[in-house]
Amino acid sequence: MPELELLEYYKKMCERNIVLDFQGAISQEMLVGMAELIKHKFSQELGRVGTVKKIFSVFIEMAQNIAHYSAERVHLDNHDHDIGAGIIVVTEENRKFVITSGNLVRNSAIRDVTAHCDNINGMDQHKLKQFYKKQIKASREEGKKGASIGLIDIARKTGNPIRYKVTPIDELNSFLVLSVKIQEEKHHAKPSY
Amino acid sequence: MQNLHIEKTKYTMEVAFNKDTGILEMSGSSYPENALDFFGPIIEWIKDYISQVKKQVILNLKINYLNTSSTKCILDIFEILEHYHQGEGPVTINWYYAEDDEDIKETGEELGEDIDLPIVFISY
Repeated sequence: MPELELLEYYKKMCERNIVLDFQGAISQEMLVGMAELIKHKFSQELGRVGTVKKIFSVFIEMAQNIAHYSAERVHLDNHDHDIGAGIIVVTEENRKFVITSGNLVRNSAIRDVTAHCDNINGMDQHKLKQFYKKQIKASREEGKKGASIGLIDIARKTGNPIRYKVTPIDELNSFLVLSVKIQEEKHHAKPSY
Repeated sequence: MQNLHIEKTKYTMEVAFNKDTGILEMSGSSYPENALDFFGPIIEWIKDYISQVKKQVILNLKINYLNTSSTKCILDIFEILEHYHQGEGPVTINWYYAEDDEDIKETGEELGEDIDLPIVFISY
């Protein structure tokens, strides 16, 4: 894009109702800045604490997935370890929110992720709860920083499927897009049993 | 052993553990980059208290938000306290939640479902 055509880019972002768009390494500082921005922006716009917290928590889980698992690693001078890079976008239209993340994943790992999503998407809330409890009690897998239950938590909190798209990039990596919708809360999406 | 105090940040909780009273307080939000780095020393302190001081534990939790890996660490703490409670030490957990925050209340209820510990839910 020629440098001075930023207006076109700006218009496109407005047309697509993008409220937050970040591309690059998701350091903790960057994550906190964006999470705080989401909290303040939506707290002003939305009355219900539940909806704001849902957007906040889904955003954090998706952003931390990129930071921990993206195959694109970036070294920042002020950090002692590499940080995952990718893209994360939040859109809002008529009080429906969509959070979409994109990052590189090793081809050898991609099937595990999509199978995990398919598995989650095939479960009702009751099964998701059982699955969540089982996974949270399971001991941490080697080399995984997170508790690998982020996607289950997202499906439980939103009550919506995790849509995905995989685009092969080269012999090593594919680009994985995950997208989740969040409706404004009218009733609680996570009923007690 | 020493009391444990950790200042609050935007993404880690304030921690105030008192070895003399057995009152252990954690409050705030938790979504650190690596939950184990943050909770590791907290879990070690609790283990030391249980093995050295051997008195009551009152765990006061006033949480706004936990990401999934922090939730796992809180469950780890509950499991350690459950074991202590079944043995020699009396344990009470007070789970404080904002009146309009059903989500964090349910997180606490779920964590307590399979744990044999008295958890008191208190809205504020």
